[in-house]
Amino acid sequence: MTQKDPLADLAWPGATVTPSETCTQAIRGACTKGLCAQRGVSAVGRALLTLGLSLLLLGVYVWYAISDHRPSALVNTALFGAVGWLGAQAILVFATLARPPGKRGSRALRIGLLLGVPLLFVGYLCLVSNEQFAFSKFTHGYPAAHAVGCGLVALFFGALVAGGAMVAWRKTDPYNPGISGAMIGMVGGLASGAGMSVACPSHEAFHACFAHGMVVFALALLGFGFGRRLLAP
Amino acid sequence: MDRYVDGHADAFDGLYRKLSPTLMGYLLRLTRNRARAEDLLQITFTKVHRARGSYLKGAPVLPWAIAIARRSFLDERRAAAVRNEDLSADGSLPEPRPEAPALPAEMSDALEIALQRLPESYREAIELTKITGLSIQEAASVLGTTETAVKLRVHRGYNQLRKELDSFQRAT
Repeated sequence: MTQKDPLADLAWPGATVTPSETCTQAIRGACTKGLCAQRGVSAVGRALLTLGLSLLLLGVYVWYAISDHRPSALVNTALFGAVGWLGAQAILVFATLARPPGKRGSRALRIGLLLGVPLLFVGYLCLVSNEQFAFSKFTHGYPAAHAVGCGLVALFFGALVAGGAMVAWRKTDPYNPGISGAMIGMVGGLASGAGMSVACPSHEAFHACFAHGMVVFALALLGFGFGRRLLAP
Repeated sequence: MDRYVDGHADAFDGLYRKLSPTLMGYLLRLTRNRARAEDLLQITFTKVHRARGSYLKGAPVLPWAIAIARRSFLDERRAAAVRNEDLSADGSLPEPRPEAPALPAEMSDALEIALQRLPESYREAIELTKITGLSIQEAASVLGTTETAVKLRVHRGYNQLRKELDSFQRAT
């Protein structure tokens, strides 16, 4: 059943106003002077570039793990997981970024993804870790220092991926640049966190959650802030 | 838009003819000042021009341009809020904010005043859907919120408008 507009009978003000001739000439002059074709990279191209950066980072982590003579069984297991998360990143990028702005899914859905996916990732890291210290042991001495080091490395490499992707997607979303930026940050965080599981010698639960998992939340937050500046035209 | 991105100047003229009256109307409603609206229109088209390379094919153009215009308005308002103003000799601000007339003469004036009295979120939702003519989905995109929120704002805004206009009708 359609609802009748209760104020339809009113004389609503007009929607259109013609700008002055001076204004029109100024705009025309600015926008057509030396006008040339400026076709940027397509949405699919940008999406592939983003995933390429993630893949490159995973490659760096794998190379590090192999050159550091990690047990191959552990590397293989972590690598399967990282490839799975790369698939998740591909779905996220194509579903929420590669579509034209305004058709990228509802805001609620994207905020839900921004909260849900990092939680799932942390849950996954908990599940696949094969040892667990007492929390008090984790917060002191070598485990704590190692976690801080790992976290900073993951943050740095994740920020490189997210930063590169942010440049690829710049000026593409005037509607919700913050949310799109957070999505890009989350993808960078997933790439770095999942890759870190391959490269890091520790497979302890708290270490994995805090040093490898929290980077996803941190980069999503940073992406939100930078996205508002970089992704809006 | 695609031909403009490909560098055709005549395509810009077509785009300008199609977009500028709606954008100007929208900006005039936001600013209530023709000179400021024209400044913002220039800023908006400059941003459209600079961002044309990153325009994603298939995106609807009018909501895209309105979102850029709205963001330009919000940026300008934010900058104005922190900008130092020189006071005139008598110590007042150079451009005092015009007061809305208290007693409208006609229904259309009453509607205009009632719209100005609405909370900003309700007014924006009504102006985009009812006056500018965007769909609920497009308005939700421009405002960066959900369709349900836009429907709710329009509904609540309508109720307030109706109350204001009823009281005007009783008074006349």
